Amino acid sequence: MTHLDEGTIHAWLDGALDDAEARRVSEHVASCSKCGALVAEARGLIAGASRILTALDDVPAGIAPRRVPARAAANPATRHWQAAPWVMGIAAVLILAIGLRTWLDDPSAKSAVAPVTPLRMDSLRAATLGEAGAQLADSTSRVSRASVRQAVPAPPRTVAALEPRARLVEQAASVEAAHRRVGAGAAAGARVGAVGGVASTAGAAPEPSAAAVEVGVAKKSAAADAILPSAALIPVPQSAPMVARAVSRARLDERRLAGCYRVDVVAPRRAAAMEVTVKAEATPLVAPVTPSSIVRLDTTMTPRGRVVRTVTTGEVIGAWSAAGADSVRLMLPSAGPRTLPSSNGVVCPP
Amino acid sequence: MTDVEALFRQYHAPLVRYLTRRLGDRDWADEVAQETFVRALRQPDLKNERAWIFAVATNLVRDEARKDMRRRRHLELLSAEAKAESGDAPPDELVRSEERALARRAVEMLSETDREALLMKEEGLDYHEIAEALELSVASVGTTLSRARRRLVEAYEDLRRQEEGGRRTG
Repeated sequence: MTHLDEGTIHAWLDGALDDAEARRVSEHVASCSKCGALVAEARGLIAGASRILTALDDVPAGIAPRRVPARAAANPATRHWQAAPWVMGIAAVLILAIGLRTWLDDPSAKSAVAPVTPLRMDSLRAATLGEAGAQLADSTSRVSRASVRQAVPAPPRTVAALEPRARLVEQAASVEAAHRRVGAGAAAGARVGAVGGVASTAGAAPEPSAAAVEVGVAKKSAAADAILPSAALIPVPQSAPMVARAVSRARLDERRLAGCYRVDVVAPRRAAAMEVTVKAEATPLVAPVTPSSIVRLDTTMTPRGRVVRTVTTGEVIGAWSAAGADSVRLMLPSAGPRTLPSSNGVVCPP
Repeated sequence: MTDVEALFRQYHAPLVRYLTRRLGDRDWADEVAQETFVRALRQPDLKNERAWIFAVATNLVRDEARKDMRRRRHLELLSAEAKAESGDAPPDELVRSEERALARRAVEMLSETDREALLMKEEGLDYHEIAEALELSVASVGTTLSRARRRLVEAYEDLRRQEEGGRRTG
């Protein structure tokens, strides 16, 4: 038998070959060291790919900021756990009932319910709760979720001292900004499948001067992504002191201009798209468009600008920056860029 | 008559996980999953149920996913940064979001078919089901998966190296 190609090896490892073919392959692998090495590599790739994909399961739900009820603090990343206790109770009973029936009736369904690895329990719980949640009236769980979010206060935060904030921003932003950096850096010597090794690098943070970090990060993000409003603040090239002065002037404007504003239309674009595919009799899954909305322009700073939130849930919906002394420039991915005069400012609803 | 309740019990969880990984948004994944099962209701009879369900869900998201991906990624990054800034996020959460962002970028570097085939394999679909759902020949599924796995792992390692290198010089 000639040497094995990759596709055949993977099919063999995936159990997709018929018995005769599989026997031929395993006999060949037993006697051919070259193919044996390929098989070992393939096993590593299969496991590595699986691990990488598992990292995608932990998606933070919506984009509401997590303030502190103990429940939320314990498990901030998975929305399903914000359901009220009575919902959880009923859901738990349903999970047991469904789980029992499923296991008793159809052992092959185990794969639908079993966790990928023990470490992925939260995605398992989220998945099964999602199932149970759909068994309840879906609107019930949505309502309880929404009311939990509303009950949580969202006080405006003053901007923290410059030095530690720059470090935090640098850490969080490095994910996106890093691939745009010109540094060639020594190879990390990462092995195939070494997905869990990020922890060793997460703690390391360079400590340049705060102004330079902020400028540097903003400049790189701005250069790469045309959407960012903060691009307007940082003209390239200028000497560091001049840039720092421009930044601090803008920052003062932004502190003064922060607050609530009336905007004409703020609605998820997705609503229109889903209406095309969903028949008229199905319940609409997204909130309808409102003619005029109030949004909160926060002082929370990110490399992309300051944060825009809805006043109802505090959900992050975009970024803003000062556009001169009397107007603000909003960048809302769902509704595009817009500039508002400070006269659009309103008192924040309680 | 298709027993949608049984279908739901068996396939809803893996479908939602598949869609979450594909789209990076659990709300959206839930909606598409709902729509998929609504359509299953209209089918008088379903052979190869799992392949059909994953095929319908995949087609539902294909166009939308391309358009919306940038917007959602933008928002996800914004919120992660805002969380980090507000000091609410514990350090291991930052690590996890970082890994997730890297994984997402690596996955998006795959071609659509490669990505979908790999995600379906992770949900337990066999080669025949993947071939049917994606309209491939069964013989090509092995090659597709081997290519997808290799490219995913290499892309991820490259991104990690770039990021670590950037950290040191930045």
